[in-house]
Order: sequence, then structure tokens, then C-alpha cells
Amino acid sequence: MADENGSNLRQFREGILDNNPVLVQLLGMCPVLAVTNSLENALVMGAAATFVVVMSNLITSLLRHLIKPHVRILIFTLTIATFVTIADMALKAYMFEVSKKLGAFVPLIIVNCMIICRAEVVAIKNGVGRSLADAFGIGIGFTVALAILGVIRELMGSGTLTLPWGAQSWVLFQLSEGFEPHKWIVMVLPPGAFLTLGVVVGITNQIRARRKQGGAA
Amino acid sequence: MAVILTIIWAGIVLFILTLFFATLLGIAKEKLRVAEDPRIPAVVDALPAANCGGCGFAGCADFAKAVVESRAPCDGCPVGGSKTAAKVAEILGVEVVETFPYRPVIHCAARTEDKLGVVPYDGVQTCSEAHIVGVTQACTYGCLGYGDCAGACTFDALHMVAGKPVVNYDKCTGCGACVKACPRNIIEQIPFKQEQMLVVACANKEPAREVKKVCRVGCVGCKACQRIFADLFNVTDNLAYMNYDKYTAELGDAEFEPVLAKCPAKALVYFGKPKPEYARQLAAEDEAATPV
Amino acid sequence: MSIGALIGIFLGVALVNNLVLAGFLGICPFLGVSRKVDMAFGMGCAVTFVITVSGVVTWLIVHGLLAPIGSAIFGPEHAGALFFLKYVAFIMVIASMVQLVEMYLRKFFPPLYTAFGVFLPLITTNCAILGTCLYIDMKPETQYLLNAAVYAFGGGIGFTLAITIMAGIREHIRFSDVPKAFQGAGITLLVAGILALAFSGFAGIGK
Repeated sequence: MADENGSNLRQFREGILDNNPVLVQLLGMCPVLAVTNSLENALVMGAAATFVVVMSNLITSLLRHLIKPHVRILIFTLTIATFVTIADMALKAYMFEVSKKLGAFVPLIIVNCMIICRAEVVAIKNGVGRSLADAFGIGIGFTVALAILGVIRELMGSGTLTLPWGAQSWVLFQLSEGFEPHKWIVMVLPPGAFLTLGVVVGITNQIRARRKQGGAA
Repeated sequence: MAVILTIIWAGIVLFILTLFFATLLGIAKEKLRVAEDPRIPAVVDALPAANCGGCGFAGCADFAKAVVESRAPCDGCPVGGSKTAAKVAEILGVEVVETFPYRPVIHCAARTEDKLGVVPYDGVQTCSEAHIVGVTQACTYGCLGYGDCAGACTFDALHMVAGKPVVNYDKCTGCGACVKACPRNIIEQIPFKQEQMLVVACANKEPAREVKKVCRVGCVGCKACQRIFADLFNVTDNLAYMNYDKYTAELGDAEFEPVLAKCPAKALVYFGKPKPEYARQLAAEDEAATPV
Repeated sequence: MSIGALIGIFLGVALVNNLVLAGFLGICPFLGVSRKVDMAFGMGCAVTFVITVSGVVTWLIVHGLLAPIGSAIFGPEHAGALFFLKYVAFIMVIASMVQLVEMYLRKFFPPLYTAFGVFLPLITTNCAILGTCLYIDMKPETQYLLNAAVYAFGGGIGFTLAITIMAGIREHIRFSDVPKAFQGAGITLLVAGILALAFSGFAGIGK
């Protein structure tokens, strides 16, 4: 039992660092680029995705002995679609402004490759504990990656840092008026998204290569 | 009340949709059926599913189709080896002939210090680019040492050591990616009839005095090997070629001793799994080197 | 409903609001399949076909099934009562369409099937398809079937354009000296950023 838990903890940690869905596995890129134009959007998207992957892994793991192999992708997709509908409606109810800014990307969580991947690789074969640990790890890893990008883009692009707080956003931090002419608007536009993600992925690869070198030497 | 109505009608709508698509797909399955030989999926199951392309076909499914249509031999899968060949032959109901595994050997024995005329090259550090540039080293036939072959290997079986590719025959599956990657075509897959095979590790076709200018260990075409083993070695264009059809399993250290002694260059090299004593020595060195 | 309006919709989604470079849809195949021009073009054609068909069918489901049933059961002001089923319905449509396209190609166009047969199952999780269906549903200008069809087709063409251009550029990058950490996804994203900048120059066309 201790070993099970030990490896559960490792599964959780791996989802955040070694197996980060965005920076290492390079899955789920579409929402990453689209919603990181502000920290608030990034955190809400991360929370929504975490909810969906946790519930999806939970249900899949509970039903794993009943799902026939040749319909499993369909079952996964329908389960995920159901939970995304719930998440979308909850966001529209409690955080309408943010939901409008996120636009079509909340329903697009349905086709986010990382969620189906988790169900296919972990939830269908393991018990509830392991699947939940994995889901939380992946969800938090996704949110962390989104947050990093969100901070960079929002600070450089609008000079603010906003956090989600109920119906309105809470401006955590705002650079002074003097920053206005130095705002780098392109950062909150599509080109800035690609450039930021490209640089962050490059830096991540460099860090991982250094760690591997350091470990092997 | 509205909630219950919503739930009921949601269920009905979903039911209609599911019925519609299930019917559509069901009809399509019949109308758009493509008759497939049942042996094909059976062969696909027997294959190692690496999808490496080593068989020359686009993936395991393509190879299975080719085998069933008699376009490929049963032993065409180098990764699966003789076990897979036997299974495939059983599915097709044919006799299988014992074959030897084909593994790559490199026709160049030069380490970086053996090469003469090496110039500092700051261009794209790949063999294909250096080959096009042409003047990064004096020998225009031999290994360039930038490791395109090592990069092509997906089984972690090929590494560059002292500027020369070294194959780990325990991990090598014979898929042939390294053969295709080498721009100088000096990697060749030969049948490994024994654990250790003797190879002419040189590809230089120039006469002796030219070879000596470019490399310390190149074959000079002196024909000494051909004089000792007339049917195994064939020297043409100043280069010795080994005839692997005539290479039998009885040839070993004792038989090759005189040839190795006579060869003035050091171009005759054994390729293969390390001998047991050497393997033990390597393991001991590894243990000593790893910090505790 | 004039030709001008339709052309406007087409150019709008193909160039100005390109699905990949401005809308952030379909990034995964954009990064994964854009290594060679012929593969990229094949993927683009497959996606265009599936997008157009799915766009039309999802429009029909929303306007022809969900809305009428909603009006009939709950009254005309509550036509949207069953709209929460949209996502489930959309994904069912897309999955079935992809399956049908695969079967159809296998039967009638075998060379085309072997050329990009392996991409077709991947298209199911392609956010460009689901995204287009959702945008058709959300935008006011696509409330007519013809507009929706043109929008979907334009989206597919825009995707094909972006992915093919990217493949062409990547074939050249192979011979450039990219730093190790940026090889693969890193440099592709940076190039995509520059491409996005270039495409944002089309923004004036709508006027």
C-alpha cells in the first residue's frame, strides 16, 4: 500500500514537472496560445481543464471494467463533452465576463488531446487513487504552464496582472501610467502568443537538457 | 417541471441522434465494405509493431498487406527476426527457411586521430552537409564523424566514439535507418552468421600512395588477404571486398589469424557483440568509472 | 446573402481571421504534420473536406433539430432550451463524419486513403473542426446555411494555406543552424509568430 501511494505521489509530481502536458508533451497547445493574454483567463481555463480531467479520469477509472475496447474513444469523448458542458454553464453563470473572453475555448477542452490521453493511458488501466493523482498532477501542470505564459504576456502586453474574482476581475498589480508608451501590444495579440510560447518551450528544453547532463555526469 | 421535461427531451434528442448516426455508420459499413483478407490482421498482430520502416514498407500494416499478397518475403521484418518470420510463415502456411540476422557494419576504421588532412569546419555539423562541402577531411570515401547515422537510430544502438560510429549489437534491430542516413553509403547490412564477423573497414578506392596521404588505417589494395583466402576476399579498384556468401560459420580467430597479421593497414576489423572476456572487462571498467 | 457578402465571409476566415494564425485552432497538427509540403497539403485537404461537411451538418442539427424541438416543447421564446446538448451533438457529428470519410475514401479512392489515411482519425481531435462548428453557431453572419457552408469551407482553405506555408518554411529550416533547445517545436512556434504578424496585415481587407 505504501508503494502504491509512493508511486501515486510520483505520478502527481510527474504531471507537473517531468511530464508537463504543455511544455514537455506539447499537447493542448490551442488553449495555451489563446487564453494566456491575461493571467485571469489563464487561471480560469486551467481550473476548468483540471475539473474536466479529474472528473473524466474518475468516471473512466470507475467504469474501466465495463468499457469495451472498440468503443472506448467514443465513451471518453462523450464523458468529457458532458463535463465540459457542465463547466461551461458554471462559468457562464458565475464568471460571465471571463467566460465571454474565453469564448469558444472552454468547449474546445473537449478535444484537448491531453485529457483523452490521460484517460487512454492511465485511467482505463488503473484504480481510482492513481487516476486521480495523475489527473490532479496534469491539471495543475497545465495551469502552471498557462500561468507562466499568462504572467509574461499580460505584464509585457498590458502592464497589469489580473486575477479572477467572482464576476469581476481583481487587478493584482498595475504598472504606472508611465508604462503606457512602452506597452508591447503585440504580446496580447496572436503573434506574441506564438513567440512567447516558442521562447518558453526553448528555455524549458534547455533546462531539461542541462538537468539530464548534470544527472548523467 | 420544466427540468423533468428538459431531461426527458434531452434524452429523446440524444437517442434520435445516436440512432441516426449508428444507422448511418451501419449502412456505410455494409455499402462501403472493402473485403480484406483475414490473414492481414493476423500478420499485423504477429509483427513487433515498431513501425520503423526497416522492411522497406510504410509501417507494419503495409508490410502485412505485402506479405499476404506475396510481394514481400516472410522474413522481411528485420526487427522481429526469425521468430516473427516463423509466425508469419505459419499464418500463411508456408515453409520458413533459417535465415541469419542482418546487422549494419561500417566500412571505415578511422578514428579522428587516424584521419589526415582534417580541416576545422564551422558549417552545419551534419554528415550530409560536410559531404556536400567535400573538403572537411582528406579522405573523400570514409566516415565524416558528425553522427547522422547515430541520430537516425531510434533504438539507441549507434553512438559516435572517438569520431567513429560504434554499433551496440544488443540493441540493434537491423532496421536500416543508419544505412539510409549515411551520405557516403559506407554502412552496409551483412548477414551475421556468427556473433563476430570480420569486415573490411575501408571504402577508399584510391591506389596505395593516395590512401596513405589521407588515412593511417586505410586499405591499400595490396591483395595480401586475397592471396590467403582467394574465395573470401576480392580486391577490385584497390579495395578489398568480403564475400559474405562464402563466409561460413567455421571461420574464426584461428583461421583469420594469418590474414590479420599480413594486412599492412589496420583495415580488417571484427564487428559484432563483444567477446565474453571483453564484455566482462567493459563491465568492470564501467563499474570503476561510475562514482558511488 | 449577396455574392459580395459571401466572398467577404470567405476571405475573412481564410486570411484575416485565419483559423490557425489568428484563431489558434488546429495548432497540434500545425506543429506535428507540417514537416513536408506534400503531407501538409494532404492533411489540409482532408481537414477542409471534413470541416465543410461537419459545419453544414452541425448547423442543420442546431437549426433543424434542437431549435424546433425546443420551440415545440417549451414555447417559441425558449427555443434554446435544449442547446446544452450542442457540444455532445457536435462531437458525435464530427466523430461520425470522420469515420464515414475514412470508409468512403478507402472504398472509392484507395490511393488517397493510403496517402493520408493515418491522419483521418487524428482529425477527430482537431480543434479546428470543433472550433469552426462552434464559431458558426456563435457568429451572427453565419445564421444562414449558405453562409455557414462558405465559412466552413473558407476555414478549411485557410488552414491548408497556413499549414502548407509552414511546411515550406520548415523544409528550408532543416538546413539552418538552429540551437539545440529550439529545434522542433521552439523554432516552429517562433516562425508561426512571424507568419501571424504577416497575416495580421490582411486586417484591412474586410473594409
